[in-house]
Amino acid sequence: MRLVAHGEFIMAAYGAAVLILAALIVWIVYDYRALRRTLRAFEDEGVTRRSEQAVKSSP
Amino acid sequence: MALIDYANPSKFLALTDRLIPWLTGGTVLALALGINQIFGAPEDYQQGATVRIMFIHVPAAWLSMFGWAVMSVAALGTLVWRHPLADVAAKAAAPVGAAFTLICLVTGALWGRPMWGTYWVWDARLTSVLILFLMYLGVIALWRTIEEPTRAARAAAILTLVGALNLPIIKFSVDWWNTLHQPASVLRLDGPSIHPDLLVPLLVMAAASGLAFVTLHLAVMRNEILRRRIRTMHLLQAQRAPGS
Repeated sequence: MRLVAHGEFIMAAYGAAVLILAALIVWIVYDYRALRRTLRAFEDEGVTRRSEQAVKSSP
Repeated sequence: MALIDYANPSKFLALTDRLIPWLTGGTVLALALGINQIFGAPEDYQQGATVRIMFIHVPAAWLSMFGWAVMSVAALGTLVWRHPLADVAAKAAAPVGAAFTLICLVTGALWGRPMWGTYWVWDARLTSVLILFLMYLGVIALWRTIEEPTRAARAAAILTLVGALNLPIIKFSVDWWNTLHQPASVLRLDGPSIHPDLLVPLLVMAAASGLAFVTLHLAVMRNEILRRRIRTMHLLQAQRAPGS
């Protein structure tokens, strides 16, 4: 016996919304971590942007 | 510090680092409140329990159009003022807007099947929202096709402004044409036609979804600024390489 009429459609709608948002969040977090890793690798190699060099050389 | 100072990408990055945890917390709290309200909401006298799909479908529909509106304002910032943060904002809004449009389409289909007897009809409202989704995918593809960010920004800005013509079509499609989709019941000149018992949870969920949109948009903007920094570093590294 079903507790709620059309319950499967309600569950599927909420499930789909959660899945789509979760996929977006996972992509954003994964991308952020990968970008931070790449930036750190550049900094370790001594590659800095001109604006950062100016900040470091200013008194 | 004046608001205009945050137009500087470095200062904006520092601002996003401070804001995102607070916005995430606010979104979670608002969602918890919204879900609590949904459980307490009564069933609709005609639609029964399926009215609960409205609490995610309608905010997603509003945000699908809001996303394109954000991109359109940012497109003006790119074309008129050529501000680098404007095209960062436009590019970042595309995947978030596309996600909310997809939620709108999927939940709409799942609401349509028990209420209309079909998942999909090619009527004006549904078709114009599908076109919006395809336009989001088109803009994302355009950004990925052109490597140079400022050139990509101008091309995407023009496509975005042309696509903005679809927004009034989506909004007024239910008034201009005969459609299976119901007319507006919240954003009306004579006030909402929904009972407060259903309207309040809907507005709470809309606020929570809006907060989620802003949080995700800022997070994607932060990623895009970092991506551009990496691109600059790649170019600097290539310039400093021996023989270059």
